[in-house]
Amino acid sequence: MSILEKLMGLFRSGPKEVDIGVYGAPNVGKTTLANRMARDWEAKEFGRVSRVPHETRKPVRREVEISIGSKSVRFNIVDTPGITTKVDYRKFLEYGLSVEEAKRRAKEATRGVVEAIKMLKKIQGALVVVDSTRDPYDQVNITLIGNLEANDVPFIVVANKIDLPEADPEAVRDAFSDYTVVPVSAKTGRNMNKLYEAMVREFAR
Amino acid sequence: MSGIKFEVMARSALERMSEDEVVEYVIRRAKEGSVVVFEGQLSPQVLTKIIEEAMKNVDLEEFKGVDIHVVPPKTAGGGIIKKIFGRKFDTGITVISPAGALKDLKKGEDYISLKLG
Repeated sequence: MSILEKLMGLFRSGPKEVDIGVYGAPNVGKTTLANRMARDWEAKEFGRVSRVPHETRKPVRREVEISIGSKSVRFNIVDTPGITTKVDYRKFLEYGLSVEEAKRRAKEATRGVVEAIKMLKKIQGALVVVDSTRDPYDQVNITLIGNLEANDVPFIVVANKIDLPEADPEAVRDAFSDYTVVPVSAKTGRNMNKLYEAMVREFAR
Repeated sequence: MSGIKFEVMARSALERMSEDEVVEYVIRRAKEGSVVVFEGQLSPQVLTKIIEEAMKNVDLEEFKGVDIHVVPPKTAGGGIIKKIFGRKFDTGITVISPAGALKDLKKGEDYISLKLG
């Protein structure tokens, strides 16, 4: 960073750092979204993406600075483990994991959910990632959003996977009509600019 | 015929319990293999505590966690959260079962149909 850029940074508006949790059920595309943000804003990637559920089993934190027009905000984005009400190691066997690997993954996944829930009390904002190819009336989505609202934590509902033909982002909008819903494809980058605008608008007041 | 036990709790019973007592009761019953049906809804904070405690209690063979199903009260307008977590928690139905205990569950506007696994 040049001296001029550093000086410019001193005059930029917005809070210094805002902790934003990326929340949602397993395999809705949280890490894909976090990695997309990292790539778009030249930060270090968050982690590996996998079709096996519970690939992210510990919260991963990265600093991502997002600039919209003259406004620049530094976010501490925390990619959290997928929230679920149940974990069965036998499900992982279907993906070719050994019994030992599956049991270890299941145990780590349960600890990850507990850590993710504890983090709800520490964040200043949240991206609730919803798979727009699935029924949005999922108990995890509903409980998460109810909790954030009860604690006055601002959040954006991210209707992900709109690149898939079966995606129905309007169903997500209808379900969460009282909140800001941004349909995106974290995989292709479609509509990510809308999400960045919403993040700066909602989280950096 | 399945041996699964159902416990149906009136709102008045729920109101006599503290949040921690509700969480402890649900987890204890789920670990015993029972399905708990509440008249009304649990707050999002209590539901979050139930998820957290369920995860802490998962063992690899017997207890896999819980399934939570809520039928929201009938209200006009508003998104699902307003319907489910409106100011009043005394309407609607909440069913919490051991994970996988219910084979099929259908939700109507004001009823839940359960089929045991």
